[in-house]
Amino acid sequence: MRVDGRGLIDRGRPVRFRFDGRDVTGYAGDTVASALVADGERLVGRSFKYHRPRGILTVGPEEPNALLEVLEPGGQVTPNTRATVQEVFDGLEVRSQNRWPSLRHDLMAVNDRFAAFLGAGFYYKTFMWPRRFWEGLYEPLIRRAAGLGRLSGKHDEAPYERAFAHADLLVIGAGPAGLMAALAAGRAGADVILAEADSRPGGRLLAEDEAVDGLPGPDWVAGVMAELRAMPNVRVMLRTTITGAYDGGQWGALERVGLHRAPAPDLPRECFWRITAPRAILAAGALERPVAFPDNDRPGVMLASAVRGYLHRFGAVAGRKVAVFGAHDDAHRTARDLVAAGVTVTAVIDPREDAPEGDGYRTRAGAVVIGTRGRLGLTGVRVREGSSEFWVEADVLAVAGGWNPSVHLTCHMGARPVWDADAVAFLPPGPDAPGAVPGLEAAASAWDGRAVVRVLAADPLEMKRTVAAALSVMRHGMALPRVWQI
Amino acid sequence: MRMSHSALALVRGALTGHTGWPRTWDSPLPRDRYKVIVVGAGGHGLATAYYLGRNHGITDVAVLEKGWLGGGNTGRNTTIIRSNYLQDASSAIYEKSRALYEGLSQELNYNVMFSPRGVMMLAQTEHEVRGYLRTARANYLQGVETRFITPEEVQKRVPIIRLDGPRYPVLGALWQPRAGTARHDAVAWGYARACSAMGMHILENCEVTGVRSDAGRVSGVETTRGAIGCERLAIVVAGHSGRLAQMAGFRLPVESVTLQALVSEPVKPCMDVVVMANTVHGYLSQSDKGEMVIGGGADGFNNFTQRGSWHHIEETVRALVETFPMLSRLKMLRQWGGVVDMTGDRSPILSPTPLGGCYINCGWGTGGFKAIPGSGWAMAEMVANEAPGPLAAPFGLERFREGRFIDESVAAGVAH
Repeated sequence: MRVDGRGLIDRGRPVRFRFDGRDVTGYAGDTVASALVADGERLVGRSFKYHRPRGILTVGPEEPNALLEVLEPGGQVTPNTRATVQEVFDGLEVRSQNRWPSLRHDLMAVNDRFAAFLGAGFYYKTFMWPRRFWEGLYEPLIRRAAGLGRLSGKHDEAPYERAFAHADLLVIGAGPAGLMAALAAGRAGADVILAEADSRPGGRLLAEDEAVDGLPGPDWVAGVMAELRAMPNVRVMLRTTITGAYDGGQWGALERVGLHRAPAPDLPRECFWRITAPRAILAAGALERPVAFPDNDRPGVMLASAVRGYLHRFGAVAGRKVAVFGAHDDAHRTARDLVAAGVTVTAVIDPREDAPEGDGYRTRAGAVVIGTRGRLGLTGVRVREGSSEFWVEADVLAVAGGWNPSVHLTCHMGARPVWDADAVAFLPPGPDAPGAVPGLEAAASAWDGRAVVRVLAADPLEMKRTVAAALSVMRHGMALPRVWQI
Repeated sequence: MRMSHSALALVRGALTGHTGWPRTWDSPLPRDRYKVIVVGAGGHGLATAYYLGRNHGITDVAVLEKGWLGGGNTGRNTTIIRSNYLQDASSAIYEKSRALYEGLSQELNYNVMFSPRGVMMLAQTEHEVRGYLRTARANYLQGVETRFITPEEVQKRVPIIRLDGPRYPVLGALWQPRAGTARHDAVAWGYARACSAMGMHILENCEVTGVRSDAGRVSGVETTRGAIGCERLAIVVAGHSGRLAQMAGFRLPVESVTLQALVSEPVKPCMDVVVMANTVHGYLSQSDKGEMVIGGGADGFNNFTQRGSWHHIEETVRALVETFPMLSRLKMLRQWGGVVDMTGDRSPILSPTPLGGCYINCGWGTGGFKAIPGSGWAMAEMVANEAPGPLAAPFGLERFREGRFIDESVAAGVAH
């Protein structure tokens, strides 16, 4: 359901699309996932092997469950499209996949009944007798059951493009850290490319209720963007994912040029860029971790960061009764935000004995979630508190398992991420580590997943050092923007 | 103690929460000395050890691996198995290998998922048509079952292919019906399990740092886990063969380059056979999981990087999309590289070396996975008898001195 007065969607521009043959209405600015969340649709997919019902877990490109087929008028199909990335447009048609005959009634879910026999690696131990049966029976059955979406069977005639770009500095990610890095380098006169995978700059500032310099996060982003857009030496590339770091300061980048609108014959669907930049700043932020407990994959179990993201960016909540689980202050931030928006929080289950008291919600300190119920959609959460066990009613469970910095690009040339016990996360390898990507600096926000936004305020000098290091080869002096506060 | 894999064992495992399975292979401490040390616990090294025990009764064997088992090219290849080579010596060893794959799951009691779904090598120029017609005839004489098929049959077997590609139309293909793929990791794991069951030692994280010799004959190796003595040494390390040879005091006519591959997201079955398109340069198959497994080219310069490059993504994907236009709708999940050791004639080296008691197996270049069982068979025979048998004999090092090349630059498939 939608929450009045929240979100960055354009409520004056409704958009109609189809999901599994059903009409759904969203708004300009929605993704398929956010429109489905607002529509109350929790079941969106089936798991790969056991065909367990799955719902939307995240609010970004890390989505593992909500993978859909995008259907085009000519019969062309794009399988395995993440609902959290696909923007809605009038006439868009998407379909669930890897289920038969329907998403709700999937006969392949019988696999789940035999899970005990189908453990990891079971196929190496069986399907060998009699010998002829492997290629005649077992393997064809396995092949038919495997795979997710389908190819259309039609040759793709759509146009694609490739292009080249050059810059002094590539900034990867347009969240608060990336924006500040681009601004600092842009003001210093460097040729900058700011690449952002999302359709909109701002990163977590779009997904949180945070103020910067006394402005609401999105307004602050708009101000920075206006300055960046006015700089002839700064190029902003939205919907552009940096896919790889290669020798010689080269970066692969995939731009979704035409995937957010109806197909047009002259518009390429995607453009594969080769960006050459001797220096780069990784400001890709962090991804929230899920929490492991039995049946933690039911539709309705979502990352806490996603619950906040749908609330603040899209004005949508996935349920009417939300429980929150996590030994992390973000669990309480999530509960506070939901309560402020008028959503019922049935409990915050926090394993810490000294968990903070809730304001407008009940904290279950020293408690853990040990199970869930609701096969096609969550209805309750089993909680163990001390020696007692009980059900907490919930149609959404937000889980906050801490943050993993997005360090992948720093490892593309063989360097390994470094475990940091204080941060409880893998951090980027240092610049002198064997196999480190030359010229790539990890920005402060990618360092500390514990509070992605706040860390900037905590140490603006870190950002200054990072940009200075990234630009150390340049002829210009550095003129950093003034210290900002969040 | 090895638990046999059977339906009964699986049921027992299911009822006991799968807690009773033994380790697939043991992880013992190194002994001071072994009769045979095999360097490299990839497919070829493990197969060498396995056939030493199975065919020759030699089980006092250690397999040394600097990283983890099967973590080199055995875990990085595109899993294709075929034997449609041109020269008699090649066909003999590759066909032996392919034939061993046919029964390998039963022999090892470990399902390596050998899947003979057929391999076709597309002819997209007149030169390729002539080349493959020649190969088909050579294969006929060698007793290897292949034939040249028409574009119509190609289309029937590969519905997603575009025959009338704008630059390179499909003019036919060399078809080997009993070729295919296998589950590459399972091949290494299955051999390792069998070796371990015979009492052989598989020593992971044990990098060889030096070769010891005494009066012109090998006496042991130095490793990161200490010195280990041996009577005979088998070097089976693919891309790093040159370094091991240097330690043993001789040079090899091989170059090490990175060969690249990439894999897509899984989709429902759309292509049942393995297709190699050597003119546009890319080859692909669909794994049992549903991913499109795509092989690219070798780097144009020597290196040990084991990673992918931008231009290979672009060139390989562009080539394949031209012949399989539907694939443009797929996202690629991973790209990687493996270090392969190339010889001048694109044929392997199975040979005694200037150091007595030291034997080398290398030079499989871009196509070693398919050869694992046959290579292990021939290598074991050579190490056991201290002389090459009929399969290995043509592949000795002396051929480079004598100019007796086994030229397989076409059949090797990958442009180098």
